[in-house]
Amino acid sequence: MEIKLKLQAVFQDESLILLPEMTAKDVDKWDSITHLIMISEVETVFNVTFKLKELIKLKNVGDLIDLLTEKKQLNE
Amino acid sequence: MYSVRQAIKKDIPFLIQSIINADKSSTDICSYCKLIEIEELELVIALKKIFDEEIDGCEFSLTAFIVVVYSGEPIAACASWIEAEEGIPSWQIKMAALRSFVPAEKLQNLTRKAEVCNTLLIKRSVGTLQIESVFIHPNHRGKELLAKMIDFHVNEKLVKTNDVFFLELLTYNSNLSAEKAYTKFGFMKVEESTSNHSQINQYYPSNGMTRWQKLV
Repeated sequence: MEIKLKLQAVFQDESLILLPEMTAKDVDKWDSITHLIMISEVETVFNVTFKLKELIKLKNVGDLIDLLTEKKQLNE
Repeated sequence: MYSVRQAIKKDIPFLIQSIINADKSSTDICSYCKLIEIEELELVIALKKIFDEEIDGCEFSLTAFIVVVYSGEPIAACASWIEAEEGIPSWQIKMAALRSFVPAEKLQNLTRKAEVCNTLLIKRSVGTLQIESVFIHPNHRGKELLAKMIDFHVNEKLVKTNDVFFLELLTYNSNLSAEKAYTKFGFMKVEESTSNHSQINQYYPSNGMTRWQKLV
């Protein structure tokens, strides 16, 4: 839930309903630079660091949430 | 005698220079350097690290590039990949790569310029064979090396698939020699952008871009 709120803030759209299967094609403001901001925000807020090999496999919102969950579990 | 081959590790410095030269598009403005506010040497170092990661799906990749060799030296280069072949657009891969090897404080310079970038940039079409970072040394122009490189890419990249119907590339509108060459090669303009943003010429070689396509 927290990550969805954070992504809504990045896309500046509180009404945006984020679904796991959503990709950049489905969100108007999800472009290259917003993507950069999104990754940085998620890393800062959740105190995790993503590797390049992990980032280039993220196909959709669900993949990002799964990767974040995995990272947080490793940090616990 | 010219020969075309897949790029290998020792070509990486030439490929990096090809990426930068293609981005400058016959001007002095490198959009990566201007947008991120880094020196060209810093960009070269970041690109070298990205190439060492061996990623695919964008031009920052050894597997994407071929080179033309003359007297044992690379004198021309060209990258290609099938856009979003694995479901991930090339811009997403490039951003992930830059984020990994450009200092975070520098990348903030880029994020502050999103408004300018979005007035110009054109998205690539999923499933097309992208042609990118074409560079031919000035001493070897007019020898039909562009055609040789594109033919090589088509023969190599499309041999395993029947699902790619278009070649596609992006150019800056100020690059008239590229426009002439791609028109001669049979590419058609399918989309154009023109930015009226007051700062656009500070960061890009041109205030317009064109997306070109050609049926395979």
